[in-house]
Amino acid sequence: MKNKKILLALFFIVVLVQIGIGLKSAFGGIDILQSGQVVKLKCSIGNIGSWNYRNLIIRERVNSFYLPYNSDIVFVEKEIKKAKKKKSYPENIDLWGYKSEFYIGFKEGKDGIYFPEAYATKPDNFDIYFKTTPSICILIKYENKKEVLLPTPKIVFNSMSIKLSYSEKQLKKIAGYVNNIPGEKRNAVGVFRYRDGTFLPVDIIVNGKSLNEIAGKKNFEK
Amino acid sequence: MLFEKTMLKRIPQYEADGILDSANATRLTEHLKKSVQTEKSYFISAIYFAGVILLLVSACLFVVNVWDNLDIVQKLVIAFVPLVLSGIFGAVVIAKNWGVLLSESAGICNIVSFGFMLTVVADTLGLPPNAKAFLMLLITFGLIAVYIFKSNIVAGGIAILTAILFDEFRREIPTTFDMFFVLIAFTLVCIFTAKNWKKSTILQRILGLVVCICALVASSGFVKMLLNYGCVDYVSGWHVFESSGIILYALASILLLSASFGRFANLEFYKLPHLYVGIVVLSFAFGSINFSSEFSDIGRGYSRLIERYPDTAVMMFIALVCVVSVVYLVMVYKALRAENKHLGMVVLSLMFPLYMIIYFTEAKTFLPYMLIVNVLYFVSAGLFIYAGVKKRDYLFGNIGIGMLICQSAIRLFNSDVEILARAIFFAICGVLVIVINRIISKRRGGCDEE
Repeated sequence: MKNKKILLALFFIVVLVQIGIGLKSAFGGIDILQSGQVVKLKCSIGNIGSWNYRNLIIRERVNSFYLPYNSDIVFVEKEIKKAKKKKSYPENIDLWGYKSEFYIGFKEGKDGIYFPEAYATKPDNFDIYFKTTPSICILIKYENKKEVLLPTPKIVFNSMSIKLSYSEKQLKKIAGYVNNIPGEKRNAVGVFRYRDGTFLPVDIIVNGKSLNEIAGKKNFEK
Repeated sequence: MLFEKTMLKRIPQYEADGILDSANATRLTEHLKKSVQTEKSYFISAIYFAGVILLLVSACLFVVNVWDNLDIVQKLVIAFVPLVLSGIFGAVVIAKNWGVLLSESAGICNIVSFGFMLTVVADTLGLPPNAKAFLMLLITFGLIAVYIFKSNIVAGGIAILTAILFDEFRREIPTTFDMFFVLIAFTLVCIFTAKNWKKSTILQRILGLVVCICALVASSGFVKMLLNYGCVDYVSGWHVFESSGIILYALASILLLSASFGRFANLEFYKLPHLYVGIVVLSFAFGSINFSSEFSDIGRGYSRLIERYPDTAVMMFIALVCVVSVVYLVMVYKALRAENKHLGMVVLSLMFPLYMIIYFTEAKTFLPYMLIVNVLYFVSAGLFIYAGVKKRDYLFGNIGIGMLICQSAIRLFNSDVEILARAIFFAICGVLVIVINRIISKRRGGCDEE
């Protein structure tokens, strides 16, 4: 009997904690969506096809962040030294296995679109930042089909993804607009609400038109 | 079951013939009636349980069907509903001290509804994914659920989630975790093989050694080096199927460990080697499929292999697969001839070579194979449930019902059939199962009374 009461109390607490965790993340997300800073970043957008209709979402990715190599990444340093010894440079150094995280700082451009400014191991000097991992280090470029060593290597960082949910009807409207623009003429900008390193995707603007507006989707944010 | 029923019918005759006195006859009748009723109640509960699961799946599909028309607040409220309901259900199960089946269900419901809530909240608000935090939360609350509900199924689920979590960490520090995992896996398989060495036949010993080698191969990524030596890009694109292989291997290890020490000991998995050879074959298949770049490109796997990799590596790979496949076939043959046949397992293990056939043949379409795999899966689940009821073994019954639940969950998210049609189909099945069960149990009750 006593054991049963203890188990009941324990289970009650567990369910309360579980609900608490859910409420915290829900209200945290709602708060960012309603009052977070609007940040726009360049992204890509493909044709709307069967995959989108099946999953009822549009999933795209912000363009990768290319930044000049500015601090010691042990792995890159080793590779550069090795290459200098051999006097041959690999085109890219794959940093897939290198899982140290860096903070990318963003700055607003004249067109209102943010661009990556620098990276660091701490976010202290950035107003708007994103925590991510590096993917590739580019050491050379091609000039007249010849390999030329870059004065400063470039690090490519993984960017954030944009996932927006729509109904089938809404996707059809979006497809009517997006698929009619040739791929090379598409200019897409991802719209996010931002606070303390968290980016929540809210919309994609393609050639000046908001996909949410095209779809007739109500915006939750204020 | 049959024995008890026959005995019950014969007792009056024995009493009349003077073999049993009236006191003993009464005692024996009561005892036999009790065991028949227990058996019946388990069978009835299991069927009702399956019916309720089908109805739940149907309810979920109906919600999915209207999901697009809901606004964010409504979606967020729905996210919390299953957790609150599972809380009430769990509290009632504890308070009323209900049986094993409902206790297990309460544990599963709590963890699944918690995971559902987190997923829906994150998905609705577009929160950035955090697999590690998600897995760690599920494991933490899962452990508490295991304690509260004494749930073996949740414990098994935690073991799988832990393997996936390890894989997440392993990706961050590849070398260390590779080494760590290989060491554990290799030690487990070696201990198991060595432990059963004396009582094994020569064939089983060979099998043990093959599996020891495969253990290393499947979990350490050795095969990808074997096939890719000299290739710079061996890492890219591999990890998705490699993870599947590792998770499957982790499952095999759990089965082996359980066979040696746990409550599964009476199942004697070492006598059913086709199952775990099958798991290794499957992990190979997953790994190999990856070389054809995409799952849809599956039929061209073999020719791609020839095109891209050195002859020796391909030959070694094929030789290894052939050895494992031959041993598998012999083991299936032996398993079918064995005294205690576990047909559910044999049928389930047929899925593994099927994957290999898909890979090695130039199959133009994936659909017929998927149909066969699904049929095998449902037949196997049915055989497990039948064996569970026939042998009065909760474990077999639970495996069968667990398989049905898994398949229902998969079809909830992934099917080419319209959502509304799926919802109606599951609802009809659920109602049919419950109604038929009710009619049968009423008739049986009537017959028993007669």
